[in-house]
Amino acid sequence: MNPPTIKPMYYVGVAVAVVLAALLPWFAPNQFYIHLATLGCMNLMLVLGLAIIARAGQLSMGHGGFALVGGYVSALLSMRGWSPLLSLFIAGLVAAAIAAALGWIILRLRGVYFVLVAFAFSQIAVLLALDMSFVTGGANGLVGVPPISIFGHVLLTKPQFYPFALVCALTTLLLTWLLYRSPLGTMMAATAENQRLTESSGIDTHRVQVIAFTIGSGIAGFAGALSTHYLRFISPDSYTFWESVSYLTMLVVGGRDGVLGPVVGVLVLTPLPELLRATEGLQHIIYGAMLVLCLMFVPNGLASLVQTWRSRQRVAGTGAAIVAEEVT
Amino acid sequence: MSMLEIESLKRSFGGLVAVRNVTFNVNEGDFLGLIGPNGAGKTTLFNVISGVLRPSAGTVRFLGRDISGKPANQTVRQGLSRTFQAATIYPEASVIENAARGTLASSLTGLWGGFLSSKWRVAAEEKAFHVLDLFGLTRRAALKARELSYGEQRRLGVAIALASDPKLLMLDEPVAGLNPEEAAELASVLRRVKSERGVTMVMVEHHMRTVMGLCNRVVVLDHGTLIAEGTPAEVVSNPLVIEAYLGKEAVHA
Repeated sequence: MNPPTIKPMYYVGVAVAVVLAALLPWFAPNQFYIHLATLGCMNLMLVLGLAIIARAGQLSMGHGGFALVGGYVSALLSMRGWSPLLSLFIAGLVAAAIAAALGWIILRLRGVYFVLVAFAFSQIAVLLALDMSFVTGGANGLVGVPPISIFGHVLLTKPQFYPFALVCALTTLLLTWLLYRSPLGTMMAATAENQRLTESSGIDTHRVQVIAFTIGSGIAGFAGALSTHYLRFISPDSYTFWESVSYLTMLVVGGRDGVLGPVVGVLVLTPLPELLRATEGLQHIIYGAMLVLCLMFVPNGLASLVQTWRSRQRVAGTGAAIVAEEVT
Repeated sequence: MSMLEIESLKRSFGGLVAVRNVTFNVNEGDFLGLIGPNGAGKTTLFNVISGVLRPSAGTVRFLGRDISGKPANQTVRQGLSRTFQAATIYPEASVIENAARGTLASSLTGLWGGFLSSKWRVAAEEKAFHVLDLFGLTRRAALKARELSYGEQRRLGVAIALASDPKLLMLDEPVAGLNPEEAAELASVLRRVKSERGVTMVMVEHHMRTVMGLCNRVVVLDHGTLIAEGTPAEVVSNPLVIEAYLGKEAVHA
């Protein structure tokens, strides 16, 4: 059996999707759509970060906390004269470093304990942002965060910022895809499926999970910083528990396997609240009903519909091959 | 040459001593059977040797190196691999992927390699196919592991352990729950693996016919203590062993 070969059709599909996303500013009826697409890019990065952690078998309920840390780090550094382009990466590294230290200790905890400690971390991050008002501005947050500038080209307006956000999101997507195909990604999937067996196959599963947590949280830090420079503002309310829940919802609705799941989840759930706004008052009920229906009928996420279809074709193919083999 | 040296090994859980001062060696090329009545401490001893549990006292030396209390993932990389009694596969992954995951630790790319090239996967699957071939699972390669029959799943579990290229393979009740035909089939596979790959093996097993047919040496545990050691024929005629299994009267009768 050869490694899963990618048919040219998929490359064409990906290329078309990327071109469409890049051309959005030209055919969007108004700036609101560009704003929504920019939010989608940042959500995609956050959900991909969460997906990487989930790939290794852990659920991070504190994802928003790392985005918050990243946002504040980048805001504070850039307000003190650092280049925002540099501070974005520092924000990612700081979030990753915190995750590595925290992960080393708490990833020895299994299941629900890890979920609780990650949740507690995000709450502590919010409380620190509120209480350390001499640095963070307290409940008012930080206003007037400098915009990102690339070689003197300042990204002030929505159509200017969107391409940068798209490049960041697509790069994250590509790197995640490469990660999933690498030995490390395979070790993550193995750890999630049967940790004891993976350990007995000579893999340090604790280390694999710490690395996944570090990478995923680092991405969250970067995305949080990106969002802060886009909105030019950050406050303790920017990333609360509800943001962590919404990333998790996107991941579950889209699908946890592969990189397609997060893309689908973000594409469906980022614009949904806006589309439902017309229904007045009913929007939360419809949103909730859709989630319940998804969990009931597509428990592996919307992206799994594609995979089911593909594996049906595969089984039909191998079945035919075996029959042919037995006949001859 | 001694491959595995176990010296005065002890493991207790609170007040309960599960393994008490056990000492024995496994020589290179051995097929050692570890037997004993239920609750004799066989699986505990297995877990301590393979690094799943820490010993309370005593040492385990593998290829001359002290591995007592080392985590399982390190002992595997040194060449000591084991199987479990239950749930020893990745049910949702394909059969070939199951075996390929077994090869990961011994592949050369390490944790950070293989990002841009898929050579490692070709190599891993090639290795995995050799192992599947030994266990007669080649034609099942594309199926999900949970779609296999119980007997095939047990064989796949041993195949995953063998995929890490061990020098010493420890099998925890490999034929438990198999019907006589499946047990005989697995036994013949193990014999073939042993002769083709020169892997030294240790096996915990209740199924006496399998033990007698495969093992050249047998160690008997009872209440955590080693009570007999020798060839299968010596051990089954040892009064201590008969007493442990059947009780005192049987010996006097």
